[in-house]
Amino acid sequence: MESKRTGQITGKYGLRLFTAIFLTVVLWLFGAHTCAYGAQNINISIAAGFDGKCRLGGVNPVAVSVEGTGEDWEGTLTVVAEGRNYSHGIKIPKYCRKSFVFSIPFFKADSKISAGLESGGKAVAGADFSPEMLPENSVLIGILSDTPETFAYAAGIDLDALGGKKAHVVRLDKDFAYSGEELENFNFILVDDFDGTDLAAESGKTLERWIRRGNCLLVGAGQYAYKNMKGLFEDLTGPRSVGDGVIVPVPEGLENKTPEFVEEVLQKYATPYGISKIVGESGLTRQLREVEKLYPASDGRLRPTADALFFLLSLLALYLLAAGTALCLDKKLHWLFSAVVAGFCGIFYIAALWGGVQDTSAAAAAVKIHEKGNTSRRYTLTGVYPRGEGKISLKWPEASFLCNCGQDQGVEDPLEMESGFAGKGPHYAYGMGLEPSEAAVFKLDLDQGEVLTGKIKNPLPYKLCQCFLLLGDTVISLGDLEGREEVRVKYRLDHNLRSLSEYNFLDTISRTARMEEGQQLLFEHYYYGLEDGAPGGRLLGFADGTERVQVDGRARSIRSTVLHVFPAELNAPEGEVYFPCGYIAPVPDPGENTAPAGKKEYLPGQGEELPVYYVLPPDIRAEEIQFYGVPEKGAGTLEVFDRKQGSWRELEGNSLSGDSLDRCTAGGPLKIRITGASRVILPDISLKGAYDPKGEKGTAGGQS
Amino acid sequence: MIEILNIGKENKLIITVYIALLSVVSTAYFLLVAMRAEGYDPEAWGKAYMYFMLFSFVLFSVLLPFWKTGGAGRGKYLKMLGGVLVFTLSPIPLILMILVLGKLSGVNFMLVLAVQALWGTGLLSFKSALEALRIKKWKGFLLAVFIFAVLVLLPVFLYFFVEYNRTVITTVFDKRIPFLFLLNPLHSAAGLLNAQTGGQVQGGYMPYPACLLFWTLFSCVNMAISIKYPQVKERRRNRT
Repeated sequence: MESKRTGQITGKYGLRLFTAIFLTVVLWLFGAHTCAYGAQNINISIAAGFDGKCRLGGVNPVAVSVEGTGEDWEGTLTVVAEGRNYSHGIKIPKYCRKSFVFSIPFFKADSKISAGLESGGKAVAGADFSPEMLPENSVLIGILSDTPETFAYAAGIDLDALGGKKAHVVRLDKDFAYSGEELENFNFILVDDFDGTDLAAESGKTLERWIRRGNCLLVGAGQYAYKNMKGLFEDLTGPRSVGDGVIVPVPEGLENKTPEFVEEVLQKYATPYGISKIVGESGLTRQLREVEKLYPASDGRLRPTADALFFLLSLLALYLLAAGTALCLDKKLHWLFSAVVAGFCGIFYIAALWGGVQDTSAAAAAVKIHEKGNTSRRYTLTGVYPRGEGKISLKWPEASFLCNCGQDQGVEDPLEMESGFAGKGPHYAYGMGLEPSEAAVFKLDLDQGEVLTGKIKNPLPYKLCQCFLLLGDTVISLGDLEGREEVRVKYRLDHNLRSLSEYNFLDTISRTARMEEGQQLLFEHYYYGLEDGAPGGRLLGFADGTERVQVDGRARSIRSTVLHVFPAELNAPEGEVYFPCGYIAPVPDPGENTAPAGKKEYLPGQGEELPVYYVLPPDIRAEEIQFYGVPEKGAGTLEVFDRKQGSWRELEGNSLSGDSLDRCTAGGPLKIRITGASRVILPDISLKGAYDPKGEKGTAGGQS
Repeated sequence: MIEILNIGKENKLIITVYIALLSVVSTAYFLLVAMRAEGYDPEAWGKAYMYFMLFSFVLFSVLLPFWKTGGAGRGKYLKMLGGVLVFTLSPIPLILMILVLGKLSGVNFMLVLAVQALWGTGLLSFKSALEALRIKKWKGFLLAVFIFAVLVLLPVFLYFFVEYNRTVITTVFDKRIPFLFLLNPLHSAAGLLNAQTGGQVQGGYMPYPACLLFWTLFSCVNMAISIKYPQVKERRRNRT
């Protein structure tokens, strides 16, 4: 009876309880759903470039700002630009706003950038931005100042002496967060009315690297000298060479001046790198165009090594020996033969696993350019060769720039420096990173009889193969240098590269240095993509080694082949300077109608002229300049620009000296033009002069 | 168990000669051709792997008729299987060498060796079936003709068929090849190898399991015959 009643009660309450629970669950599910929708009112905004201006052929900052609401949000931030996909996993705590800066290169003029947020495969929010695209060879000027309105005149700077491009002005904050590559978009930086110590530590380092790379920075040394000359700009009594670049103090100050005034200073102190940024293609465009040359160099590192082969052959010999022995011992131990077969299968299988047959193969080819001052830039192409068609990722955390190459673009994460690929391999990624370097600049002596003497030491602890010295128009083979080996050099320059066509030039170098095919390609990548015309010689050598990257999240050592490039300079004994032919490289300014046939050859159109610049180092006073490779009479005329008169005149003989030379080099680089030639091999110059640290363009601070 | 591994001295000699020949060929290839190449060509290594497997398959078929199938009773067949297994698996170190040096990852060579093992079993069981049917005098000859017919005549007739029908064949496992020709274990192995080293696979992998099945059935039929008709010698011995 009781139980029946209980049963009834339980039944009644049971039903109600059940309904209650059911409704609660349903409501909770719906509620949670709505809450999720509520949290997805997440805001995203995007701004790109420098004050909205992006530079073609350069790496530009794209800043995406995400503002969360109500709930913690986790998902992926994607950016699509020019058909390339970038993504980065993000977490936004509730009520937080976070900003992410993607370093993205742009190459096409009509680019639109779209950013989006994705969670669980669904797009949640998006934003678009169309930046103003500045052409590749435009002039971008940065201003570091507390009163930027005094630099309003800078927008009128018109560098027609350097190619006639109008300038764009962008203000830099004292804690600008641009990376090294992003700052490279700037051609010049002007500093005045700015406390040098205000510069944030990271920004200061980036700025110094920018100068060292070969750029020119002007500092006001007028009424605000007391304020400016601190930190990086301390103790400047005259223009100072820093690495390949220059810091120039301007005694009149830089505020409220005229465009012409600044134009004059910029022209006087322009570096070859600075000029090539204005007149030629951007470095990034050149590098990515030449990157395919590195594919075979990287693939070649997957070749089986002789060590591996002989190890396996010796194991094989053991196998045969053991099988033969088991055969002979058949009467006593008839199970031995099968055991030998099984055993050696196992041994070889272990050897195969150890040799990495189950791993994804990867290899790298790199060019490492050692700079003055214990730093080096490394440009690496990494290739991965996946087994199947699944996803694979490659990460190089120390890189400052990484991008995917080839047709299958995949997905990149510029904040983590990670490249993701899918599909059948091989896949390649090209990146740039900064590394410390122990190399010092080689100093060699060259006397008037053209005999080169000096000591060359391999600064690396491992062997450098096929080393050669490129000095102007001479290539000297030095063979292999063991780790830290020092050799004495005494050679007469034989000018074996003078006035050669492009193909013969490269062929002579590769034959003299006895390069293999992969090494030839590495050298060509350097020559066409990375060599930027700083004066001086180069010592180059190849080294096979290993590199650390992360493939699919696992750190691995992969085989690599590296071309090391060291700077070599000539001493100036007793203040006398002799730069052999080609030591100072020509910087051409081809217009649209001049087709390049390589780096040294050009094919100007009908009636076109080809201007060429020769930038003399600021601490040299030239007394005589000799030209080589001048077009013959009838095949074209070479004219020199007289700056003092502001007119062109034809070159007499093949040299310039004395007063006529001074008129051409006062206040700017030596400028020539070649007219009426259908095929031009750029002429080279040799220079005789004096070391003049306190001259008109002196460097009181010395080299640093 | 240990008795299964007792292959017999002559057979061990055959296996040793087999491995020695393959070692000579592959070593010569490595030293004279592969190490002299300037760059790295994964396709060339894939082809090397494929041709090596096919070469070892052919050599296997040539050497197998000389295999001595001795012994009595049920143990005989286990011994035969064990022997074929050791014979087939003996060149694995060489295969692994090619895979390691050529950086070919994820290649499952055991599948191809499975075809080879079943083909070997089929041949040996055929031989013992012939013995059971008392065709002693022509046994070796018939075996050789059989091997020739399967490995060589089938492809030749495939060629005739293609020309007669004017079909176009693009790859090893082409859809248009009639099923009969795909029973050739060499053809199946070649198709499988082609797919493993990156070639096109048109008809899917269907021919391969079918081929395995066929040769398994063939072996079973032969073994059934030779069990049903035990050897005359034995019967005579039993009588006297």
